[in-house]
Amino acid sequence: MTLPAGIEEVTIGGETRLATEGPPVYGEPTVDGWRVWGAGRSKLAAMIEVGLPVQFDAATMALYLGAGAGTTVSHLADALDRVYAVEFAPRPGRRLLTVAKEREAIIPLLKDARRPETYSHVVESDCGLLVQDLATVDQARIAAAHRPFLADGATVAVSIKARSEDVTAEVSSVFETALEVLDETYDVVEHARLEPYHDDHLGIVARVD
Amino acid sequence: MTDRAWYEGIDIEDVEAASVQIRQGSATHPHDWEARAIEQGIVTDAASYHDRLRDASLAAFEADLEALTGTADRALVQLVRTLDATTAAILELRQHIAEAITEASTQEVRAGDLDTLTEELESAGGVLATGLAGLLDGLNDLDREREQLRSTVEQQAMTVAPNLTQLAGPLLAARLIAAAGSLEDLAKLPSSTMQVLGAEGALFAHLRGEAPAPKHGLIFTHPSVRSAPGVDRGRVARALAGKLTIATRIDHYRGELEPTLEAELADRLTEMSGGVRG
Ligand SMILES: C[S@@+](CC[C@H](N)C(=O)[O-])C[C@H]1O[C@@H](n2cnc3c(N)ncnc32)[C@H](O)[C@@H]1O
Repeated sequence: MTLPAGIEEVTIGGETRLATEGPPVYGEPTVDGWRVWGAGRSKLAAMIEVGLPVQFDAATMALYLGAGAGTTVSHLADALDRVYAVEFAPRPGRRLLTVAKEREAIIPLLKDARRPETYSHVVESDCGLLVQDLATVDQARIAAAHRPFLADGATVAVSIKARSEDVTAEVSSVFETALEVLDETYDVVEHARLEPYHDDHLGIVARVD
Repeated sequence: MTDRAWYEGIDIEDVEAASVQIRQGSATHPHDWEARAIEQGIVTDAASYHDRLRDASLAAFEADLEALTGTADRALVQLVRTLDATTAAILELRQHIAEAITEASTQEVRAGDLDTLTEELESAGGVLATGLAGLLDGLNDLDREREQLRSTVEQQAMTVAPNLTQLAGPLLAARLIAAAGSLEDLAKLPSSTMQVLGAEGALFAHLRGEAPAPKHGLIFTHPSVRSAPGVDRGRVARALAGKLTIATRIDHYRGELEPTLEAELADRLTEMSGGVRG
C-alpha cells in the first residue's frame, strides 16, 4: 500500500504504526520526531490502516469537516501546507484553537458544516482532499454539498457513523443509503468498515471526476 | 449576486476587520480567492496570503468562541462604559481649558474642537500657553486613543449583538446592553422598558407621581426618533423599541444575523411617517 504524502510507518514496541512528523500534541508516543497516529483515535488513520486508498500529495489543500479537538487535523497539518478545519462546538473548539496556534497549516473555522455558505468566502474552490468526520445526521448529504470546494480528481474520505444517522435502523442499510447518496455526486472508489478501530463506522473513499 | 472574498473592501493586514468579515461574511460558492488576491496585488504571494488568512481566522475563531461562551458581552459593557467615561473626561477638560483661556485673556473662547482650542491657546500666548500646551497635546493623544476604543466597541457590538447593532447602530446597541447589564438581561426586558431604558431618573420620578411618563430613554439618540416631529416621537420610539426587542432576542437566543429585520424596521418607520397622525 502506498501511503499518502507526509505519512510514514514507524516501528514502536515491535508494532508498525502510522506516523507524521511534528511536535507532539496530545501525549502520543514519538520516534525520532515522528508522532504515532493511532487508528483508534482517528477515523482517517483507521481508513488508511484498513487499506482504503486515501491519496493526496504534499501540495494538496485539505478541507476537514468535524475537526473536533484537532487530533486528526494535527496529523494532517504535519503532512500538508493548508488544512481548513471546520468545527462548530465551542468545547472541542477551544482545544482545536490551541492546536491551530501551534501549526501554521491550520486555518480554523468555527462554522456549521450544514451551512457551507458561511465559509465559502474563505475556503478555496480547488481543495484536493475532503475529510469528513461528523457525528451527525445527513453525513453523506453534507459531504455531497461540499463538491464546489473540490478540484477535479480530488479525494473524498468520509467516515459514516451509523448511530448518528438513525439509532433504530439496521447499520448496513444506513451505510447503503449513505453510499447511494455519495455516489450521486462523487465516484465512490472503495468502502470498508472501520472495525476493530471504530465500531459501526463505514469509511468511504470517493473521487471527484 | 457576486460573491465577495473575506478580504474584500478592507485592508488585508487589518486583522480585526478581516476577522469580522470571516465571522460574518458569506458567499454562495467558494472561488479561487488566493489567486484573486495575488492577481489584484492584495498580497504578493501564496505564503503571505496564507499568513494573513491564518491570523484572521485565528482571531475570528477566538471571537466566535467568546461570543458562544457568553463572555463577549461582559467585555462590551466595560468597554462602552470606559468609552463614555473617557468622552466625558475629555469634554470636561476641554471646557475647563476654554474657560481658562477666556478668563486669562480678553478673548471669548468656547470649548470647540481640540484644534480650535490649540489655535486659541497659541494666539493667547504667554505663560498660559506654555503652561497648558503640553496638556492639550496629551488631550489630543487621549482623543486618538478614544477613537481607537470606539472602533473596538463598534466591532465588539457587532460580535455580541449583530441584529441589535444593525438596527440601533453599534454605540446605541452597546449602551443599551450596558444599561441592562448584559445581553441576556436586555433580551428579557419587555419592549416598554427598552423604550425608556437609560431614562431611569425620569422613570422613577414618574412612578413617584412627580413627572409625566418618559417616552424615550437611550433610544432617543436613534436618528429615527430624533428626526421625528415632536408629536410623533413617542410613537416612533415605541415602534423602534419593539423592533430592537425582537433583534435583541434573536441575538441572545439564536445569535445569527437576520437580514430581513433592517428592511422591516425601515418599512415600519416609513409607514408611520406617511400614515395618518394622531
Ligand atoms: C467524531 S468528532 C471529530 C473527531 C476528529 N475528527 C478527530 O478525529 O480528531 C465529530 C465532531 O463533529 C462536530 N460536528 C458535528 N456536527 C457538526 C456540524 N454540523 N458542523 C461542524 N461540526 C460538527 C462535533 O462537534 C464533533 O466535534
